[in-house]
Amino acid sequence: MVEAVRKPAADAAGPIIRMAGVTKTFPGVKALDDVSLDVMAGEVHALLGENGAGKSTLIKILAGAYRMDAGTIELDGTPVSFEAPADALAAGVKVVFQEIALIPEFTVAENIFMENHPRNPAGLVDWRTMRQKAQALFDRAGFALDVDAPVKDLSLSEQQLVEISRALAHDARVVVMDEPTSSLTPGEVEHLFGVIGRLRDMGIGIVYVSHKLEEIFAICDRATVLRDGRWVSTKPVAEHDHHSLIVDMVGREITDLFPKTRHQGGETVVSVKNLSTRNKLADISFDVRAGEVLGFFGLMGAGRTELAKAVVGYDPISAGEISIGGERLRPHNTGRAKALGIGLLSEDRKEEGLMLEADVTRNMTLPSLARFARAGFVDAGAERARAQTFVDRFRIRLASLDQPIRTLSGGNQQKVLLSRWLMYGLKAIVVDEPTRGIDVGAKAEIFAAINELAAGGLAVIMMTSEMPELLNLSDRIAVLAEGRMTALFDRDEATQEKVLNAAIG
Amino acid sequence: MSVTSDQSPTRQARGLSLGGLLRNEQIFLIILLAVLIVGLSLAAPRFMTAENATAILHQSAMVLIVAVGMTMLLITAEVDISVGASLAFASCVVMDVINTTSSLTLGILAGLAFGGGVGLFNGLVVTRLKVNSLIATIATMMILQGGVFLYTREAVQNHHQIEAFSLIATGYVGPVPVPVIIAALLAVVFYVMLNYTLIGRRVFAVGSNPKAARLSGLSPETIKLVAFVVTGILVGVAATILASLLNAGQPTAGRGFELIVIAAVLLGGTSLFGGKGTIAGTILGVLILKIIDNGIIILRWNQDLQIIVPGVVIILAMFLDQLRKGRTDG
Repeated sequence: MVEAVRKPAADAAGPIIRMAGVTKTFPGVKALDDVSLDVMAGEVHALLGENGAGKSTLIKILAGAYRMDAGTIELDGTPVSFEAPADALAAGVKVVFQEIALIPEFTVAENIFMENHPRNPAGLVDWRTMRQKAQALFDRAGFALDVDAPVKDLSLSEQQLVEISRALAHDARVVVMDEPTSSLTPGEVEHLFGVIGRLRDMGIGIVYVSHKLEEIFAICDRATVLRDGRWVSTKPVAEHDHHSLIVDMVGREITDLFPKTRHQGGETVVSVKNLSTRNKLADISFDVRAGEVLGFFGLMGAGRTELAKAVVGYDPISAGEISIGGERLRPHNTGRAKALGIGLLSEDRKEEGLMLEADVTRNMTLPSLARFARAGFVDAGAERARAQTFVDRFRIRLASLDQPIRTLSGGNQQKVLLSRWLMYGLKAIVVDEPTRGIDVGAKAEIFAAINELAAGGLAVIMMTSEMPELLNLSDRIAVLAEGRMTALFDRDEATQEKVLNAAIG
Repeated sequence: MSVTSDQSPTRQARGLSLGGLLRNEQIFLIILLAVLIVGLSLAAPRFMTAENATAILHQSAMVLIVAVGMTMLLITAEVDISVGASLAFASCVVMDVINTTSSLTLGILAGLAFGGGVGLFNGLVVTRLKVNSLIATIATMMILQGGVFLYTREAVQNHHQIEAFSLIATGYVGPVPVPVIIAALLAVVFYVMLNYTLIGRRVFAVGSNPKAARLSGLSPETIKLVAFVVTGILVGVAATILASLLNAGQPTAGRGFELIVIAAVLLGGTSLFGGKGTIAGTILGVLILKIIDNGIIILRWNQDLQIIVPGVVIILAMFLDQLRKGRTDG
């Protein structure tokens, strides 16, 4: 068995895992640049940073999911190489990702031993041994879980425990938790902290990735902060306070991707009063004026996308009212929203934006099609000519208007989708994470386009989790936390620190 | 489904060599059709006669009439399995209404209304109750297959002796059978509708990305509902021809009809997953299946092959389609 092969930690004082000089480049982006992280036995090590700081990339390298371009990983002082997730697992490193990867139809015990089912002499799965081993694990870690329950009947926090049990079944020595509390209730968070304490007592090193600073102060021993793919600091948490952590996380001057333009707000175009939805949002009110960019910031799960979809009539609302240009959005559907002049540029281009097999023209003219129709017949010539004007205006790089849109780059696809609504002619546009999955060069062009929209008199509502984007583009900044609006700043009074504080809630 | 995303290098290499020829699947279907025609002409001289060609077109007409509607429905990413059962039931309704009212017009209208009503029912179950269309229309098929026997135990015989009624299926305009003319007209109408009109473009949009369509202010539910109703009305058209052909309303007719229709549409390159399909492909698909049918009869092969061979052809066609895609996706 695995246990028999493994050596005890050679030197109790040395780190279990030491990552040094880790560098990783993706096309167009240097995600990690000379980053270090070491994890001791029996410590909870916080890994902190803004969105895009490189936390995810670093833990994916530790999990063997990505290969690093340069750098070393040492296990008990011996260099190792993680070519695949199986290598990391064999070395005792287990990552519990945010999206839990269990098989819902299988029982708890089956999921725990997914990779190494105990077998009986006939080579069949030995169910009895498997259940006993699972139960023994739970007893050791103090989990109250039913080994025979199907995973689909478990709550999210119980599923997390199953994931952690998988780590224990693999005799893990380092467990990485990626924002483990993002979808837990306060009670469940308490319980998870208890579990983490027990793992620590068992001598397991824990890497704890989170945005929530109180959690860091509650359970972490040391903290490593990353910023823009670089290592900033590694210090005992006792030497930090709220302020010093935030300064480490955001303490750079945001370089302007383009000069700030201040928009003169015209009359109110979008008015949202006491908006609530069944699943997330509670009592949200705001106004947006013509020619203004209202930026919404929020951490993962704060409700940005939910708000975006509710405002454009896509998702149902349970209370409150939305008015566009003084008229109520009722019935609450996208057809009425479009008629009133508001539309959404979705964060998920593939799922909710593009018709992948269709050509550029058809993708661009989707909402405006009726304009090109006479007696029900579409004038394809006029349609193409109109599309061409937007291709020229936004310098969309393509070989032909008849090209399937899936063959365009992310940035060019985004410009086509932006053109889609410009061609239709809106009064207000909601843009949700407008630069997600877009390389750095194209980002500046998208920023310029959004600025241009506002300059042209559109009311722009921008959802973003990117601080530089927020501070550069917004005239006013609203902050969401857990489905509520926790702050509203004018551009001049907003600082990264204030915004982040409000977002942490 | 996931087959295309995971192309091994060897498969891709083969896709490359074949792909050049098969890039346009309509060309592939035309080649297949030509090979069948040439092969059968050589094997059985009787195949290449005017009478036989007319017979093939005649047999293709009913399938094509429903298949053009099914093409539109599949483009919206829905399917209707109940068309065979609805065809049989509607043919009984047509005959019964003509018998009781002695009005050809009322009989035909009743057939269209019945078919359209079944389509409306399917459409409402799928768009309002959110039942998957494959399951919903299998259920409708069962309801109709049982329901038609509550309606009539035996075939509804012709008691009205209206001359024009039998001409619907057996009449000719010049050398062309009436059903072939009806089918051709409908094919042209649907070709124009899908390619050049607002409705056609919306059908494609809803099928290729329903969420994007909704965000653009369209209602995918309404468009799908219309597609179901239109397909149902076309079943009513086919049912009128069927009743005229059999000179009776036959409750046991139409078994397996839905499979031939869907097979022809898929063979013609329409995707089960929506957003992709052509009327030209569907026409070719219907002709290929019906020529195979005809060839088996003319060559005096075992009649059971009439079902087996199309099955094999469909698998082969889908496989070749994957090879073709391997080229573009790779």
